[in-house]
Amino acid sequence: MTRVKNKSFAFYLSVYILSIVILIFTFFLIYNYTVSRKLLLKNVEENARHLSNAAVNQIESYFKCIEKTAQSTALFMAKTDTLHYPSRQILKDILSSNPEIYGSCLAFKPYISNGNTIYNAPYCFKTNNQLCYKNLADTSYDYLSWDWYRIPAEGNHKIWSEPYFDEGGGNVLMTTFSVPIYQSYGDTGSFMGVLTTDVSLQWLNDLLAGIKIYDSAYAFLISNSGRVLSHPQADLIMKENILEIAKGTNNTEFQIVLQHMMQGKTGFEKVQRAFSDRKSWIYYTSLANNTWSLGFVIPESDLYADLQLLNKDLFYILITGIILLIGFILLIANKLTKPVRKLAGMMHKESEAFISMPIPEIKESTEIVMLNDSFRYLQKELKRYISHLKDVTIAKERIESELQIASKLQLSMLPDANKANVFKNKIDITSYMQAAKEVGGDFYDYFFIDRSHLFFAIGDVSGKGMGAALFMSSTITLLRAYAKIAGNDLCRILQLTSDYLQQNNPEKYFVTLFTGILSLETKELTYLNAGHNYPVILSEDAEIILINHTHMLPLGIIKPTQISPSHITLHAKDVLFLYTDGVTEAMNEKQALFSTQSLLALLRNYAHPDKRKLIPSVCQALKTFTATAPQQDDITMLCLQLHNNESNQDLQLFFTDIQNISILTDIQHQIEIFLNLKEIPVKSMHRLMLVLEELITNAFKYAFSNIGNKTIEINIHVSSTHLEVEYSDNSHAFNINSAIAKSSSTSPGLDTLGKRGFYIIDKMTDTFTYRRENNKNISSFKIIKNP
Amino acid sequence: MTIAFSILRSENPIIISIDGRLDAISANSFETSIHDYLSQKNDNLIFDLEKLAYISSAGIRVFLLLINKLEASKKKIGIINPDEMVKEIIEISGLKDYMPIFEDIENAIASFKRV
Repeated sequence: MTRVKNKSFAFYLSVYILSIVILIFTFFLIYNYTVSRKLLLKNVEENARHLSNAAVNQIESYFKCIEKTAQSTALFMAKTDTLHYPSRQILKDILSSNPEIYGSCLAFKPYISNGNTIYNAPYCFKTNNQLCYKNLADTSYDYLSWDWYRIPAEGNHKIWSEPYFDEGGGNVLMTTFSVPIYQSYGDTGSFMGVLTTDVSLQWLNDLLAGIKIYDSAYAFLISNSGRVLSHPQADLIMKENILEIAKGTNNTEFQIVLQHMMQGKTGFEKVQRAFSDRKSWIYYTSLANNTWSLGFVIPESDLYADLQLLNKDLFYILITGIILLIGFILLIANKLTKPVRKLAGMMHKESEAFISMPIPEIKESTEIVMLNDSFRYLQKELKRYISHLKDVTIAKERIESELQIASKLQLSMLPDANKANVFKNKIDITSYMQAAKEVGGDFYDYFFIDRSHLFFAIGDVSGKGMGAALFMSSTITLLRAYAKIAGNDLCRILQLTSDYLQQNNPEKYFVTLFTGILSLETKELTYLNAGHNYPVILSEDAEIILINHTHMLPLGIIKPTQISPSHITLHAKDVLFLYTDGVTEAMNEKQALFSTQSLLALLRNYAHPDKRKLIPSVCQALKTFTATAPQQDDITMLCLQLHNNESNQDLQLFFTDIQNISILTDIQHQIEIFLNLKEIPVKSMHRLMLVLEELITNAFKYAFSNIGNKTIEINIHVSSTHLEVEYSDNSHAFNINSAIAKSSSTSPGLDTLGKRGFYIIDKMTDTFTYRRENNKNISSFKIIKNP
Repeated sequence: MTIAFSILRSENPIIISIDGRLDAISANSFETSIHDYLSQKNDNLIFDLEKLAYISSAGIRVFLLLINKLEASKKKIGIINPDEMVKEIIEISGLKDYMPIFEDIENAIASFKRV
């Protein structure tokens, strides 16, 4: 038994459930990631805004504080006699009370403090925690043209200068706040000069570096002119225009973001590249009064690091979950399908084994229990069915075998004309019977009442099947028995048969019958027809004579009264053809009958000289006519043909396909009849049989091995003094003559068992000759007719 | 059934009557049955051949084998009532020297009792 390589239920269950689970999880992961990202970004933006706002506020308040200091000083100076107030003291006060102020300068209007000096600009600054003084007028530094002086002087504006590196001082990044001083003391509103305060921007770096959103996130500050004021990369500060840097990154998004920053906008945007970082988010906002812009760069890898970590964890959980799920499914499926597999396994057994197998007890689940119950039911039904089938089969087989036996028995009751035919020299008899069912009600018979009188009969019992067959068998037996008693008296045979049948016929069967006694010497046919189909005589010149005389009713029901047979004398080579209504009433598919006309026409046109072929040709015609229609009735035919004359005194026996030595019985039987007819003494017959037995036994012992179709031919001619015999067989060459010659030279004794046969042949025969011809051993010998 | 035998007397000498034809077909079964019957016996044998219609060399062989077997225990075989043809074959085959033909049953018994 080969098991079909099917995927198991567990496999399918796993595949389906896992597919769904994986689909759901994937969707969940994607959704989770997307939403988390959105939330994260929102959160980050918020966070960045808060942080930047805080930073901006801090920066702005710082600058406000500086501005206030400068402005209050300027106001104070406007109200005092500035020119006569020691400016050095003012500057010192500013610097000492404001640690974040790096330096301060009072740049006076030309000629205002001294009519002779154009420039007067005392400057106080911190170096190494010491206050130093110098007058910018001493250095050939024309401050009047510098923006920090010019813009406040001309427009009464306060102004923050662009950041710059203080080359003279601490070499740190500085910015300067300039505020104009107007004289409000005395002469009102006249411009006196400009007060500047320098502050270092160094602290900005520290401030921004202290803002941490993410590990690698950082803040930077640019001015609206595109200068980098603060950046973790110190070498970028003040070195280049920020747009040049942006161009260097080859990223337009970043350039746009920077332009927005320079324009003082606020935003949160993604860029493919920011400074040296790939894929980052930038939050930017401007410092309100300062025309600077603060930016936060948050690299995406950093931003999503946690999210990716979360997703990774989720993924691991999913994988673990799926593995657990597979195990669980397999376990469940296995548990659920175990009984099913058990049941399926049972089905692979032979039905005999299946019905006797115990059905497993199952409690797991309802459906399986149902299946199990179905199996139990199936098993029970199968058991019942098989036992019933066995009974039926046995009964059917018994009936069939009985029918077959009956069929064989019935056929064996009929004489077999096709075997070697003892009447060959006087009459040829051929016959045919085919029952519609296994057994039939038709029959024929023929036998010699005495040496020259042939009794024959053909009959048809009403009905078909077993009843008809039994009636037929009693009819044929009665005819034979009464023929022995009544001899040549046909009337008496019929009378006795009829009486018996009539008295023992509760089912009221009847039989139509044509019987005749043919004298082989006078060729006179005495016949009686009891309601049977008319036989036909075919003369040598193809003339058709119908023997259309009915003498009595069919036998079996009504006791015949006066019956007297008819006589007709046949001629040499006349053919007597007898048949039952199965021939003329053979039906084709259109329910048409073959008819007597067709049969007569066929017989009339039958030109073949060998009348033994007549019955086969009628059979062929019937077969052609009925085609596929089933046979309705038993078909029986009997054909007798008288020979030309009696000059032929020979017996010719021809046997083919001989199986074993039991053929001797047939041979003996045929020879006995023949020699009886010829009135040959029993002693000669015995001698003949002795010789033939030796020859045939010898052939079987030594010469017939490996011969397929064993054939024997015997021809016996009776001369006035001898039986002249020719025996031939198709065995291997075996020279009997020389064997005989050898055996005759030794006297028989106990030690010469094998040669005794040849010795007997030698003693029994005259002129024994052997020859080999056409692959045949041919022995010719004579036996004395009257020893 | 072409051959059968019946026991007419079951003590020494045993008398067996043979009925039928003893030819190549029947010889084997006859040989088996007679040997079966004699396997427990150790007596002289007389065959009554009155009903033996025919005998061929195959039948002669059966008798020869019996003679052979009985000779070993110094027992003898005789026959009575063979028909003319059977007698002829027995004579031709030279069996007569080993299997004497008695005129009647009394002679045969008397002859064998003496042995």
